[in-house]
Amino acid sequence: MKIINRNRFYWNVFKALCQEEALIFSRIFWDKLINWAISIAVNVICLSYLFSKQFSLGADFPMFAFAGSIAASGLFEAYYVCFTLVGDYEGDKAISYYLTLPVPALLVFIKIMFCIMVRAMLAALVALIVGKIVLWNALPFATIDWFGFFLIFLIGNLFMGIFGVWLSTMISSGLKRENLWCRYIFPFWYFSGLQYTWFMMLKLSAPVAYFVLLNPLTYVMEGTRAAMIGQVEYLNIWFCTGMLMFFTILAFWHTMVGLKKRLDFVS
Amino acid sequence: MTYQKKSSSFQLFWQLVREEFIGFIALFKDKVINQGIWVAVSVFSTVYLMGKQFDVASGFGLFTLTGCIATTGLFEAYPNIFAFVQDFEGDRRISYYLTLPLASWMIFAKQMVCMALRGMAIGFAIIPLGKLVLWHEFILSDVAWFKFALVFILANLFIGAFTLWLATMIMSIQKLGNLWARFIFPVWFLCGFQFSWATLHNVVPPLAYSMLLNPMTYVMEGIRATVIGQEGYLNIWVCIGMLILFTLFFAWHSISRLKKRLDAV
Repeated sequence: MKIINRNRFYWNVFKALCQEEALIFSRIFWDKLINWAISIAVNVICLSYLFSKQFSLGADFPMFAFAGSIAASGLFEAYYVCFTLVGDYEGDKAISYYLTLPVPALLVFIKIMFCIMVRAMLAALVALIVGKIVLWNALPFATIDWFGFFLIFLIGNLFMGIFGVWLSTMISSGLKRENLWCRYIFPFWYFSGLQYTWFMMLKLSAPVAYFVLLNPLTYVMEGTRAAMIGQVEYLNIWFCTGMLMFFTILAFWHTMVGLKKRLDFVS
Repeated sequence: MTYQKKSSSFQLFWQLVREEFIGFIALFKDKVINQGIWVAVSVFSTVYLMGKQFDVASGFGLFTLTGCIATTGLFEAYPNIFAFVQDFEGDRRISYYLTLPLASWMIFAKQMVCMALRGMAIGFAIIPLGKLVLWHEFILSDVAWFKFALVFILANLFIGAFTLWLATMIMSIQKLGNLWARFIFPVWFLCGFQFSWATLHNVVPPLAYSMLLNPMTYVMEGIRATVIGQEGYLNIWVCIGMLILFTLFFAWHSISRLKKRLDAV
């Protein structure tokens, strides 16, 4: 009974913390929505109608590029929150207040990861809708494996939520935040298969291809493309799902270890 | 007497530019590494991986590299705008400079020149890296160096004026978050970062003509015309002429807005 009451208490606190975050986000929601829509529309128009014409990349390119954009859309939200977290760790340390609440510290960080995940999913959803409007017939919804897409979408964005917090623990206090994008996130994003498939990389260089399998974003890219374009030419979607779950659990564990060291809290 | 006054103003102007540049040198290494990684990863991935994926003809790499070189200064715009707006709303360091025995327009011009010099310094550091990544595809002897230097200097001066102008248009730091997604990113991507103006004209002529109002179009086309060759790009002298016009316009407009905003004499 005591355990049930305690768990109910933790759940109520978690809900309240999420509601607080939702209230803060609601104030910037329309701004974010417009920004996401403009970014994806400009990106898709330039890539699909202009870049592909410039270099005669073929009729498959728009869908290929768009699937990559959807897969990576959560990464920008993860980066934004990571940037904010690092600033907080070294500045005001507002997170210390949340760590004084009568709930396990784990719950506080799960809330942060959950909120990043929701933001990432919203960004990807907006990208999907805007992409359909811009691409229209070039993005046939009927041929998408929606179950596979939903699975990758969910687990991929969950991974992004954890990744954002994990990255904040890996950034040393000496590293300038301005270096975060160019030196860590950008190469991680570009070498995940943003502009090529894993099998193409395997043909070019097998050692590099196997090394790239250590990049979790590769599975998000390949899985999203397999669901949206078709399984042929991409890594198996169930393999991608399994690996993503593995990396998500690994990242979660390592994040908690890193946070304990960085913030020196009691669990 | 007037000559002496003008001469000492000029000396003071260059002292201020020197002061700012010395401060920049401390950040230079970090900035070059960041830009270098961006250029190397973009160009390498696009040429050697995407090129193989979609069986693209040669010339792809140089096209991408020239886009990166043209864009280098623009990436400095956002942090500079942030610094300006933060200063306008906070410490107002700029007020100290306005107390110096120098015309206020020279203080603002100094900011533009400093931003241009920073962009040029980073951009020049990127060129050897581009050569390393592309090697045979980037033949240095094929570049029209005099015209390239002209366009490059003008492009960075324009970006300096444009950055200052954008800073005067942002009324509060809260609005800054929308600046990248709603303005800088579309200006950058639609100016021809991934395609030439000729391609845009073939696909969507009305959009192509509207992009002639986008000054970054002339930066991209100008850099490409000098590095890759005139064929397929806007005439270099048109690009140079338009860049001069846009630079003068944004410089004039930002200085008049700053004088009002900071109540400068």
